[in-house]
Amino acid sequence: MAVTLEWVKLPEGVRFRTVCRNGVPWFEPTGFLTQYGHIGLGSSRTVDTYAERLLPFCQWVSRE
Amino acid sequence: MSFAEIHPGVLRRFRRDLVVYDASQPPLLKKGADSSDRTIRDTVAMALRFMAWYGEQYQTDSAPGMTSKIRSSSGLRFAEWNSWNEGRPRVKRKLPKTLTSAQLDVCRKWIMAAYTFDPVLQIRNRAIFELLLGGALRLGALLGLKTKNIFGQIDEC
Repeated sequence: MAVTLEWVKLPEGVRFRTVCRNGVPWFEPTGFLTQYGHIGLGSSRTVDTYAERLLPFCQWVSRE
Repeated sequence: MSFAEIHPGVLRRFRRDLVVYDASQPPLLKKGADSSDRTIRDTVAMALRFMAWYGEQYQTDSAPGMTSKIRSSSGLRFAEWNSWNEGRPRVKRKLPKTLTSAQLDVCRKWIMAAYTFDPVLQIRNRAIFELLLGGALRLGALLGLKTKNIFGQIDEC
């Protein structure tokens, strides 16, 4: 299962980067990133950094 | 493995796998075993944050005390944990609700009315109430309070 970072667009039109499985946003990490990164308040670059930091853990979980 | 199955011991294995190079699989970090300590620390800290969030969201068994458990088992020092959190935007917290003076009067009246059968209990409970309210004491501080801790003149009964 390929776990990667992809750009996605929220219904409000905000673009941010999140963890995806086979190109589909992974529900839990996306929920975490939208809340933790304060989508709409913080910069998209900040959320991008958070997603990059979270990616190895998600890859590791899907690998186990 | 799903996120719900993850516990502090599993996270320790994740930390180890970040630095141990396995030739059969691509490295989790771009630079593999050559990654800097800071990168490894940030990655583990983000995993910890995520699991703490997950525990709160989905009320898993690991929710109560998960944050402190995984932090202690991760090898991250408290200062490191806090410093990692510094750049995060803060959400303004709401102040807790407080009782109005009218509501406090109702409480006082209730205490006096409920213990009319025993004047000693009446005074004791009223004193406890006033101490908690006026001194902002916690329960432990109240229970450990001695007469020598109180300044001023006290009439011995």
